[in-house]
Amino acid sequence: MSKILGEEKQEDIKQIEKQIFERAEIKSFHGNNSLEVKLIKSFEETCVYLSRYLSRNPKELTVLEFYQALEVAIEQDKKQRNGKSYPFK
Amino acid sequence: MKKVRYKGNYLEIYDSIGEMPITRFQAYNRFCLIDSGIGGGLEGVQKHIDAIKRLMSSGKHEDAAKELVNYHQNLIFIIEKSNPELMSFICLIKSINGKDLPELTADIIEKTIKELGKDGLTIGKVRGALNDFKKKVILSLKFSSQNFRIVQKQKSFSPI
Repeated sequence: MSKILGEEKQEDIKQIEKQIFERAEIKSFHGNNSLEVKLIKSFEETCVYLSRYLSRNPKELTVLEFYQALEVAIEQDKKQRNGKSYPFK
Repeated sequence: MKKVRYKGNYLEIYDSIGEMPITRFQAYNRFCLIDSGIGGGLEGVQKHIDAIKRLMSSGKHEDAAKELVNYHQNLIFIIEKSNPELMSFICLIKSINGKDLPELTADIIEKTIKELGKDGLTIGKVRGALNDFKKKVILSLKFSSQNFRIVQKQKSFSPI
């Protein structure tokens, strides 16, 4: 296309690619602070948080139930912090 | 539930957030994360080498060292014939020929990959099913839950 238009965009493309690459963060998948460990820990933390609000084990929920429960739990937390009444007593 | 047929066999695959257990989704996310950062095939090797070259030339030696470790892990996957993409696919399977898959452990995943390969399941079918899942389930999750967006912003837990 650039040849048809008489323009050479290769240098611009290289420059943009370089900029994108420089902004991209290199993720570590090794050691205690790896991304995989963080993912597992955050899931476990979310389960502990949810278990305070549920009578069931959060790990037995479906994806939809899990995220809906999380949404309700966060809303309840917000309302409690604002001094409003507890909605599902 | 979606059925994938291949050479006289069939797989039942989760394709709805109302049916898929959260633990399966978590395992799926974990393998997707590994696949995107490390990769499991030869195509990943060139990607890592290019990244290391660029990082070294731009003076980011710390990042280059991180990428080198990822490259090393990629090579280990190739030698061990482990593939995170295939592992993420196993997380989506509910049953094989009507028989439910047991709780997923490393051994079960490895055994299932071998069995499916023996039975003639192709990588094309696997990638097709993974793409369909990404399109359908991830989109429905984005629209169904406000929390998903909140949690994503906090970057504490981000389903891909």
